[in-house]
Amino acid sequence: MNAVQLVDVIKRYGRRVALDGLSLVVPRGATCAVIGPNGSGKTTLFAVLAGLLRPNAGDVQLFGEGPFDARRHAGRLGLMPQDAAPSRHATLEQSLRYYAALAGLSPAAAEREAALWLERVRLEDRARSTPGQLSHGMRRRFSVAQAFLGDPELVLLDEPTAGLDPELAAELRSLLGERRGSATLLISSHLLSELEDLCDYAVFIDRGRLVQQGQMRQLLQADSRVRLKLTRGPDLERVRRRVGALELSWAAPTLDVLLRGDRPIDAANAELLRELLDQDVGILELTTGQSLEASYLSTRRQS
Amino acid sequence: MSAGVDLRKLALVARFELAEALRSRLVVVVLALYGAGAGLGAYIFSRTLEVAEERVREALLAGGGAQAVPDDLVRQQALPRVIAFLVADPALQRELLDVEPLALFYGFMALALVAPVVLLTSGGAHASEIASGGSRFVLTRVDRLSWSLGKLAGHALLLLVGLLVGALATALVAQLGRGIDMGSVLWLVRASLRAWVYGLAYLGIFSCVALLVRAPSGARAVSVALLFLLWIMRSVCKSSLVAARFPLLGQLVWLFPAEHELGLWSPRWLESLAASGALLGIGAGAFGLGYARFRRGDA
Repeated sequence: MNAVQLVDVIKRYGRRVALDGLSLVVPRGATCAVIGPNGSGKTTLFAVLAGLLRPNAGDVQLFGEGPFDARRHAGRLGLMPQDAAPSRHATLEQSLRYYAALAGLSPAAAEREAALWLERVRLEDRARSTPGQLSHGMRRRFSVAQAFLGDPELVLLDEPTAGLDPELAAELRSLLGERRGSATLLISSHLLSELEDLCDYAVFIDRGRLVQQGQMRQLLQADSRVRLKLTRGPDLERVRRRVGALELSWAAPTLDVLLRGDRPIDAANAELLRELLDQDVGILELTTGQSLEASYLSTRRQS
Repeated sequence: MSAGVDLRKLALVARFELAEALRSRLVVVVLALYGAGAGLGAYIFSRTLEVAEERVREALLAGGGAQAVPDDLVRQQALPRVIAFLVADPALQRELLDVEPLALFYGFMALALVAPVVLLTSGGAHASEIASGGSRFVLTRVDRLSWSLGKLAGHALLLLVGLLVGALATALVAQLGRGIDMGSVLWLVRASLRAWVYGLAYLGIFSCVALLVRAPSGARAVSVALLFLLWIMRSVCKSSLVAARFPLLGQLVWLFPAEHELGLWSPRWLESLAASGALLGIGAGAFGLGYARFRRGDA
């Protein structure tokens, strides 16, 4: 069962096409990275999923139940928009209680949820502050808190760590990590390294079209690619002869190895390490798969 | 998209909107100024009435040669002069003689000021939340109709609060001056409710503009322009020249809120009810127009 399914979705702003026949699926329970350059349609995608924007054409399915409908999906979808300001005069606590009540929680449950999420995003001491009294980072954390109120099944997070200092960004990543598996998360970010660690599924979009989608391991070629940091360049011909079906590329200090065929990575890796040690090459680091950035850039080049 | 209103969520939105408005300095200042204006106006009106009464008393004394003239008699003579100043229609003048003078004054003041007050306190309500992106926190939890109506209801309550504050200020001034009885207090409440019904028509119109324009400053500017336009168009429709040449156009005056202003004061309940219905219809129609566009469009 998919949490999200889009088929040939088109969204235009006047003459500009933001989503140009976008089709994609996100399985239920996935933590999905939504990756694309500026203006690729990520924010539009989130707004279409949340029912804020009406697509011009195409089919949008949430949980296989049709497009977003507040009556059917209230409390089941959380959205952290990129740029949105909450009510100017209400305190954070009042706003969160209001949002929770609108999501269908009883007054007592709404109060509990508001307090819980203020604590989780470390804003409990600012519960009685108004948005105008907060820093940008605090407003972002508030925005995260409201998105998770009432444990929605699907949470859309548009650039959640943008503008946060490194410590807060790490805390937020850890918080999102805790939510992994309990809800379907769609996260857009330009920091691909953080998405690589956090997500198990990814979609690449460009100019409103899908470029690539799939399990993160598959996209990173985690079962067919090895990267080694070495003390010096090895004899690549000798490596090829001994290990077999390989594509090798050396850019000091990294040896990038791509397996060909169905050979298990464990066996090929053992052979490769033995050969490197025989050549007396020091191995400083070994990682499987390529970086998400490399995967994204190579996919974009191919597309 | 489901049709119908979620009354529970509508009430939640209305309550939050009213509280949010009352937390706003602008709204509090506008309501305070309105209350102060009502109080000051009531004082000036009382003084004017006293002067008019004094003149009548002097005239009666001079004409009849009596030593003293009863207050009731003086008022019977003085009040028509004041009402004639407010209302041109002689039939309505006679009917309004039954109304407590202070309530009459407050009612007319409220009717005159209600449109600008609604514009200042509620003019850009829908637009400001859409423009700030705040609606994105809410519209994933409540359907657009319940949200739009909830905000409208919140501002309708705010207007009622404001009008009652003005009535209270008027009553306080009266109490400090010549004193006020319970009957007059009830008249003030009735005058507030009449002005409220009148204000609801403008609230619907301004909400329509806000839902169409979606930028608070733009919505307010368009609303001001629309107020002038409504005034001009009504004047055109009412002119004898237009009525003579284009009788159908003359009938369009019923679409303008100001046309029903005096109908609200009629003691004949059917007439008053028709005016109220027309005003509520204008407000609902305008709001419906704005909502129809908002429902189909992007938020």
